[in-house]
Amino acid sequence: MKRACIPRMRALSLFLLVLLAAGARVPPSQAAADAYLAELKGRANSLALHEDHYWRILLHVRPGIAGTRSLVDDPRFFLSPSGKTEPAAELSATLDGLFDNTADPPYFCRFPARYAWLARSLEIDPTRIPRPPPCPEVDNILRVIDGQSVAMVFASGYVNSPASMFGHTFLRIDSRLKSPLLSFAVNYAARTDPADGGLTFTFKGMFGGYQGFYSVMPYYDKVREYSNIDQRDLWEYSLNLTPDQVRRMLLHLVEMKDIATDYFFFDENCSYELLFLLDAADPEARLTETMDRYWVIPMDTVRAVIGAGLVDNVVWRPSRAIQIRHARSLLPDRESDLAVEIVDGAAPAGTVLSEPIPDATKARTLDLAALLAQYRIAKKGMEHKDFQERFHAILSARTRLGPVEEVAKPLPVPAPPEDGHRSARAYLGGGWRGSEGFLEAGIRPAYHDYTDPPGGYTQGSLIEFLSGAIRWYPEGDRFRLQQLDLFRIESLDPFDPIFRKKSWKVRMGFQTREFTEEKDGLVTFAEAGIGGTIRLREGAVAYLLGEVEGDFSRDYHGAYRIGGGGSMGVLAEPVRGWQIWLEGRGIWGVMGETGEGPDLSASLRQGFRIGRDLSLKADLSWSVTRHVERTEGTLTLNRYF
Amino acid sequence: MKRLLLVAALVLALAVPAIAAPPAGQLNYGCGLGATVFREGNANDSLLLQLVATFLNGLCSNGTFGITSGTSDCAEPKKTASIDRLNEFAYKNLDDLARDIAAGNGETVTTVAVLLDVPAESRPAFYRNLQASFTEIFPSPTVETAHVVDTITKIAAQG
Repeated sequence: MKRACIPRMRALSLFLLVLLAAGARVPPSQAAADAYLAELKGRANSLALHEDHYWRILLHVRPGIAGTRSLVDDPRFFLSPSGKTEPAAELSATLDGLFDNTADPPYFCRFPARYAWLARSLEIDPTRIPRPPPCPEVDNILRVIDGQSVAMVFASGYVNSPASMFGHTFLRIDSRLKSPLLSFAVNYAARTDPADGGLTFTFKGMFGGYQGFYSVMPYYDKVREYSNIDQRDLWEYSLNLTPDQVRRMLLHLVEMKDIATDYFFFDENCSYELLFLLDAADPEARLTETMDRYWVIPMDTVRAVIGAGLVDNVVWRPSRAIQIRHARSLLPDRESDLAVEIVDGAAPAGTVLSEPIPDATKARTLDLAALLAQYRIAKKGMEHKDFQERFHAILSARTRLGPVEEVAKPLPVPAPPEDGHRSARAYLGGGWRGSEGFLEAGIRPAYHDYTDPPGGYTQGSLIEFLSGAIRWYPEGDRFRLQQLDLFRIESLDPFDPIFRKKSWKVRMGFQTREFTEEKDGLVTFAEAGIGGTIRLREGAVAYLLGEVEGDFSRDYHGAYRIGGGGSMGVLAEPVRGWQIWLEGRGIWGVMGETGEGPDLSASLRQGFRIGRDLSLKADLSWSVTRHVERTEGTLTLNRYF
Repeated sequence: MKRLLLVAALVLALAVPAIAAPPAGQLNYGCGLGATVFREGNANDSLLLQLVATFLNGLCSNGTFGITSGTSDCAEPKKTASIDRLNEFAYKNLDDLARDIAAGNGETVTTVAVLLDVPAESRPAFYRNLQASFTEIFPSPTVETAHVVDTITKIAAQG
C-alpha cells in the first residue's frame, strides 16, 4: 500500500483552477502530447498504480476465486474493453482519455474521481495536457448537494418483504443547512420490474437477474418511505468524514451515475455496494475488504463502519407506528378512543375541545388523531376526501389550544441495533433423546430466533436461513443431519385495534424423524401458518396459529403426508437476558399417510444471555410421531459471529 | 452453494408468492392535504431538484410506494431561486408541515425556519405566529402549496 498514492482532497477543483488559469497557453503539439502520455504511463507503471488500493476502490474490484474483477457489469464504466478484469489496462485507457476531448460527455467529466486521483498520484503537469472541458453537470451536483458530512442510515428489518427482511442501509449527505430533512439520501437498489411476481422476483434477486444502481433523492422522501409508510425505524449514524472526504465520495458517485451492476440479494447488495462510496471517501477504512463475504447483512456493514472508527453518534428516528403507540400510552383510554372515533368520522374533532380535561391532554388527543389520520391514509385505509376534511378539522381544533408546554414523557430509546448479537451463529452442545445421549453442533448464517439475545432486533420476528444441526449418538455411533432449515420466517405481531396485524410463519427444510422405535429417516418438509398474537404484558405474548404441513419421505405410506393442525405458545422474558419460548403443536395427516396418528409436540426453549455474542440455551421437549414417543433435552453454548 | 441457493430460491418463491406484488396503477390526487401521500416522482420538482434527479433513475426494490401522480392538476408553486427549496419542501411535506404548524413545533417547522433564515432566538415567536395563523395558511383542506408558502413567507417577513 503506497500511502503517497492516495490523493489529497479537493484535487479536482484545484486541478481545474490551475488548468483554467493556464488557459492562455499554447496547446501542446500532438507529438509533445504523445510523449507526455507515454511518460505518464511509464510513471504509473513504475509506481504500480494499477495495483493501488484506491484504484481498486474506484473500479469496484473485488478479488475472487475467478481472479481479479470489477463488480461493475456496465461496459460504459470501462474505457478499456478488458477493463472489467484488467485494472492495468483500464488505467492505461483512462490516461489515454485525458488526452481525448472528443468523447461526449468528455471522459474528464464522466470520471472526475479517477482524474482527480491520477492528477495527484502522477503529479500531472496541467500545461502539458489538452485543456480539460468544463463539467457543468458535475459542478451542479456538487453545488446542489453541498456535501459537508455524511450519515449512514439503517432502516430496521421489515419481515413482510423478502428484500428488506434484514433491514436496509443508505447514506445521508448533509449540507450546511441545519436540518436533516433537507439532506440528500444516496441509495443503492435493484431496479426491479413491477410486473415480476414473487417467484420471478426472488429468483432474479438471488441470481443477479436485476441490475443495481445508485440513486440520489431528498432525505424526506426516504423518511416518508420507511418511517411513515413501512413503519420502520431509522437509525442515523453520523460519520466523522471531513467535507473533503465527502467531496471525494460525491465525485465517485458521479462516476457511478446510471452505471449498472448485477444485483445479488446476499452479497452484491444494497449494503455492500454503499461501502465503495465510503471507501472512496476514506480508503483507510477498507470496508469493502472487511465485508467481502458471501452473505452481507446490512447491520453487519454498520458494525464494520463502527469498527473502522467512523461513527460519531447515533440518532433514532422512530416510525410513525411507534409514535402513535407512545402517544396513546400517554392518554387515558377515553381520549385515546375519542381520537380513533374522530379519525373514523364518528365524532367531530371539535368535541375534544369541550371535554373536561386539561388543555395539554386535549392537545395530545388531537395530536394523536392527526398522527392516526396520517397513518390511515399512508396505508390507504381512508378515502382521500375524508382525510382532507378530518385532518384539516383536527388541526384547526388543535391550533386553537395555542402552545402547550411539553411535559410529556419522551419516547424511550430502544437498544441500538449494533448492540444486538452478530448475525451468524454457531453452537456446540449435547443432550439426550429417549434413553440415548448425543453431541450436537449447529450453524446458522442468519439471523435471529426467539431465544437469541433480543436486544437490537425486532420483537416477535424469527428469521433463519440455512440453519443446520448435526448429531452424533456415541452409543450406536450414528451421525444424523438432525435438521437443516432452508428458511424459517415467523412474525408474531400482537393484535391491536389500530394496527391490525396478522401473525404468520413459513418454514421449509429437512429434519430427522422417527418412523418406528428402531428406525429414523430424513424428511423433507414445508409448513405454513397464520393466526393471531396477543400481548399478555410487557415482554410477553401468546399466539395461536392454524397450520398446514407437507412432508416427503420414502418412509411414509405413499411417500408423502399432507396435514393440518395448529400451534399455540408463549414468548416471554421473565428477567432481562432470559428468554422463554413455550409451544404446543399438533398436525393431523389428511392426504398421503393418514392412518398413523398425529404428530404432537410440546417444547420449552430457553435462552440465557451471557454476553452480546454468547448465550446458553436449554431446550426440553416431548414429541410423538407415528406413535413413537420421545423426550429430549439439549444444552448448547451459542456463539454469534 | 449456488445449488443450495437455487433450491432456497424456489421454495421461498413458492412459499411467499404474494409478497412482492406490484403496486397499484396511476392515480391523480391533485393538490391539498393528503396529496403528498400519493405523489411520487419528479414531475413537479423544481429545477434545483431536477439537477439532482438526473440520478433518480430507478425504482427501489424495497419501496412500497408505487403510485406516481404524473402531472398534477395542482398549480405548482412559483419557482423563484430564493425560495425554491421551501416550495419543494412544502410541496412534498404538506401534511407534516400542517400538523407541526398546528402543534406549534416539530421538525418540519424547524426546517422552514432554517430555509427562511429565521435566527435561532426568533424561532419560538415564529412558531407561535405560524400556529396562530393556521387558518390563514391553510384556509381549506384543498389549499394549494403556493398559498401556503406565500403566507408563511409573509409571516416570517413580519418577524
